[in-house]
Amino acid sequence: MTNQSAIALSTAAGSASSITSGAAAQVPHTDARGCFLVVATPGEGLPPAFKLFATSAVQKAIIRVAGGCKGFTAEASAAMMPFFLGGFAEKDTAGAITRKYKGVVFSGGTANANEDGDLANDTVTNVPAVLREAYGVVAMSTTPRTADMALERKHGGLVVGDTVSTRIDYRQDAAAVMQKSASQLMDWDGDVPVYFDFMGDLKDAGFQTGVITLNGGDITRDEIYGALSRGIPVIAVEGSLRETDAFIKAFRDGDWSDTCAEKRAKLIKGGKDTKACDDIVAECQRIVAGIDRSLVSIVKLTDPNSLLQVMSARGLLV
Amino acid sequence: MATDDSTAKTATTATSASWLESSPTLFVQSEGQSCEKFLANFFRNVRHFVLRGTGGCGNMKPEFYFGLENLKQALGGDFDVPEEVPQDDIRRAKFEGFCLFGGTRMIGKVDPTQIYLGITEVFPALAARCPDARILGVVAKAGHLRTTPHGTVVSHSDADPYVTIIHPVQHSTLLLQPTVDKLANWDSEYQRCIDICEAPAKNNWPGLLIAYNGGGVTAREISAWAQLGRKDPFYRVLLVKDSGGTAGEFARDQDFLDEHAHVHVCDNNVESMRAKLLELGAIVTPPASVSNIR
Repeated sequence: MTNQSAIALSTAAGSASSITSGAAAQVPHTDARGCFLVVATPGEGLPPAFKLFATSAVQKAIIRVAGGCKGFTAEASAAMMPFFLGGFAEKDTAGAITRKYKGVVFSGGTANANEDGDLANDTVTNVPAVLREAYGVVAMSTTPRTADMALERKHGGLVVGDTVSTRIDYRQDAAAVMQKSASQLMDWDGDVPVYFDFMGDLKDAGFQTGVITLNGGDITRDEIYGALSRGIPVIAVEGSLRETDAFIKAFRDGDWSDTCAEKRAKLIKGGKDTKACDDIVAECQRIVAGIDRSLVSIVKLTDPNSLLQVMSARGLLV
Repeated sequence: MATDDSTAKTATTATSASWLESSPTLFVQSEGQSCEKFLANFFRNVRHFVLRGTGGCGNMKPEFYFGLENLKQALGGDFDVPEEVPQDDIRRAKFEGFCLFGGTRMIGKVDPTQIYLGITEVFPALAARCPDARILGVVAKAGHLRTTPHGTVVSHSDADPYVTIIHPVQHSTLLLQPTVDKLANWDSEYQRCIDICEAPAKNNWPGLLIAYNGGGVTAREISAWAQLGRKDPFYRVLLVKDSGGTAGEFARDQDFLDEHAHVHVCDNNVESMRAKLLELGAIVTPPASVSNIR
């Protein structure tokens, strides 16, 4: 296997120590050295050793959490993790878990770090690690390499963004960084076809699949419609703004005015032709017209119970 | 061609066919390419255990054929277990997991219905006997392919009374070729199997190579696994004593066995084979075979 390397990040300090206790200890497979890390190219695909982490999940299911948090109010930011924590486990009146999701959760895999190397839980890409800690899900990620990588000097954390605070979330079970080659960067959507292939293979092998989307721009829109065109259910989080809300407006109300709106505004501002946006909207309309509408669920960011109900109805809680 | 209405309707409206869905998938891998669709077999909800079976084929002497049946019975369980015997009785133990084998069958040139026995007849037999096994063939394209009414021929020689086809009974097949125009050598099968085993080994699945009879290629595979097993517990070996060929020779080589504690030996009978397969976790009783327990 070329262009791949397995690097242990077990020395990452700070919050990692608190993560190793609790539900995460029940995860059936974890590399004892730390978060298993591979660097791969789209041509070779995700390495088998990475992909087999998914089979260690107790429940044969995989959910991609996609999108972002741009424009979130402080209230919306504060609601995000409770939304996922509340939606992935059913509890009785005493607070004991009665059913929960035990499959794979994967995302873009980046995390913001402070000067002590502690990782924050303030982005959607932290959701897998948070759910791993809370419920023992298998947490994985695929991240396009959009900048040269660096090892942060104080703790050695792997920096994958332009700023030192953008790290790979080492609290996960396995992370894959995708690159064109050792010397060539990718766009932010570079990992999308690869992760859809991965989900498709798991689906063929009997895994339940799903994509939960919040917020997001052009890439998230591609992920929403890409999932639907592959028959992968989409759980869209209402009130999370941008392309996810635009999708809900289009899907539920037939109003396509917000789809591709940011891109359109940029083109107009630059005095450019907006035909590309018209084409994108037309393609999205074509996809929605052809899908089984039961693939789509709409939940509210401020209502974890709405996610819980959808997870339950889709047989994702065991 | 005349058909009645119902036949015509069936012919035009059917969207699935059980014969098609139950047929093995075939993936052709050229050198340097990945084989993600074949490797996706390992995503199946099957117990995490990889059994690699290797040994003699065309050159196996008939006096060693009997052991192939022993191996089938050892892996496939005892059909004569009385109904009242509890589910967890070890007599019910059978193979569950992923089985990698050579993926071929030898059939007669003169009479294609005649099957020549070899190690690759053992594992397809498990498909019926072991419902929780996934039988995966890795085939070297040792000759240019020919599609025939008797199967896809992957190798033939003027010196042999048989041709080698892709075995029709398996779940999925990976056909190896350097390029579309070049032929693979027989070693490529075991080398690719070792590549494939790398991912399960890294994920701490258990593995086992079982070797019966065989020649030079089998000897190189046994040596490779014995060497790998010094560093990684995945690579355990079970040699069948008195199976002839190189597996039999290794099984008698006490120096070799002393140097490799992860190389095990069983006698060429069902009882001894089953005892070792149980000890090494290759066969399990149904209650013990909870998926993904390691």
